[in-house]
Amino acid sequence: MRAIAVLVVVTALLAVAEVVLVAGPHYPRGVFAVFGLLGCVTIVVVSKLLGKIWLQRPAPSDE
Amino acid sequence: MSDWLHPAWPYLAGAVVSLLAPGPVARPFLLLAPAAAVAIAWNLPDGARATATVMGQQLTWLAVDALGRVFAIIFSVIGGLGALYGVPFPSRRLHTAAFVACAAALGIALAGDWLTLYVAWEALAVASFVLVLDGGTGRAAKAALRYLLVHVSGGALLLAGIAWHLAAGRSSSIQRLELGGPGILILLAFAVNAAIPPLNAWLTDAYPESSPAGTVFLSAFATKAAVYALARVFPGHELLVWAGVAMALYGVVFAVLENDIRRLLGYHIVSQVGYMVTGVGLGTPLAVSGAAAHAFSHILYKGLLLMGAGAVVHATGRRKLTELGGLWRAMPWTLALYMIGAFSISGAPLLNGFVSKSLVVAAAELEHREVVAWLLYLASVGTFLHTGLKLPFFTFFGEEQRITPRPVPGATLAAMAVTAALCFAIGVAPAAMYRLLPHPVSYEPYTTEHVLGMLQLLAGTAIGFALLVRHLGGEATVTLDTDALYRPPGRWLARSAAPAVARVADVLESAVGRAVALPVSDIPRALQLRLGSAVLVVLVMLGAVLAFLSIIG
Repeated sequence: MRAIAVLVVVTALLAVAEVVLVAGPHYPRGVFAVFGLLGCVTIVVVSKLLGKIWLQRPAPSDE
Repeated sequence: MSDWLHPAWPYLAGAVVSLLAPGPVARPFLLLAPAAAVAIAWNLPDGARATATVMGQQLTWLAVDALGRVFAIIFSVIGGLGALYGVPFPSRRLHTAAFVACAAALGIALAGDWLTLYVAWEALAVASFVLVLDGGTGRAAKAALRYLLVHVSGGALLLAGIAWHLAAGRSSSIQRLELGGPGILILLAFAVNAAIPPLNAWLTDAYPESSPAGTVFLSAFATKAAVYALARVFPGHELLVWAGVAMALYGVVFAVLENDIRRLLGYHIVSQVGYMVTGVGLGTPLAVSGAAAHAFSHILYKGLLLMGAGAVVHATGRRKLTELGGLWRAMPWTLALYMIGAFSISGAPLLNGFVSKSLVVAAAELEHREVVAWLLYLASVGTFLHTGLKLPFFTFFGEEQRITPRPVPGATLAAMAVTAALCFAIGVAPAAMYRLLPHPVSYEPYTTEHVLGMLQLLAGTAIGFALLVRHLGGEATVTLDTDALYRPPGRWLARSAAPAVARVADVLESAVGRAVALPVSDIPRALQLRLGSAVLVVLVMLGAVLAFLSIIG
């Protein structure tokens, strides 16, 4: 939990820095942090799902 | 006599010395040959050309422009770094094959005509086959044979495409082609080497089976030579934009499921080459330069990552996440240097991957290809998740496995340190790399907005990893890839062709054995049958090419 708290604080500081330092950004502020989190969860969930229902097989004995 | 030297020559000389000279004599050449090659490649001017007439055909074995030179320079550099990494591994087979592979890759990058390209292309396939064999295990031998069969098939497609192209009276010099007629065959051949899905399974099948040093060389050449060829012949084809995006995401999806650390990194080769293929497909000057820059960067940071993974395999004898853990105390330098590569491939500021990846994505954004750009950002998330978080966490931290690793040789760590220094140097001073690119680049990656955006992307990914870490450990499974489609019919074909294979093996034993005065009968029958099947496939492929050419007139 402590690691997650530290990462959230770091991310929040980066978002604040963006608000303070970047005038007229091309993308909504903080969008990359949200995209990173949601993208990570999506990749893991979709990949695991594909693995379970289709792609993964037990390793053969010589593995 | 030509006015120009080819950077492949020192590598070919080094290969001969590695093969024939005693170890102490050959060892200096492992570094002298690459140094000479880098010096030659660096000093080749635009427009330098050299030709030779072979069997009535004029071959342009050297044709220099900025695109070819930037690939020639990085192929020369990684040859030296790989050789330094491999110094502690006294394998004649490794160093000879690696130097031949370097020479072949340089031959591709600087080829001025189709036939020269083809010869170098096939030489790279054969040298890479030997590099896979250098793994020295039964699994490596089988993977090497599969590698050879796939690349012989790709080579046959290339030969057929080139012959069709030349038979139609078109120029023998390598120029942009359209996607029709011979262009289709040539594109398919390039796609095999670039590992564009569904033609990708050979990469993650073969690379992890080689030796630690062999994998470093393998990762540098085949796919990047294909990127060079695509950039030379097929820039601006929309098909490649989406093929590249699919590659970028395909690699990260499969990496989630992977347990073998070098196979996991192999999937990220597919993913990163996807960025380059996308850049080639976009086709703008910035995008093509971005693709070349990303190939340049990728060869360095992927080499560094595979050096790190190879050091772990060498030190522990283990290669799976489920068997590793807690190595950070015993291997702190390996961890630190690996992490530089991991941050680089993830696009962290101050490292070369940040610069080159930004070039490709910026090229997409400038063309208003927002969907493409965001899908590449998504691939970036997956890249950091696996190479920057999952792999190092479960290898160096995670559950303690009570492993006592062997020390990592000094030369191995030195090679990693030099490669890491290059990643950092290009990251902080990208103008040095910009000067080598095929088109002028004025893109500035270090804007406050871009740096903060990429740091946010990495931080958000890290939060996701921390939340899901319990579900991300290795699993004792294998993952079906596209080879599941052709392995069953391949096995059926092999069984059906068994009598013919046995006959070819018999011919090998009697005729070839007598001709070259080798005791072929001493070779185990199983290996004879394997060689026989390889020879048969090559003959069938060449027969198919000849039949095809006779049909098209």
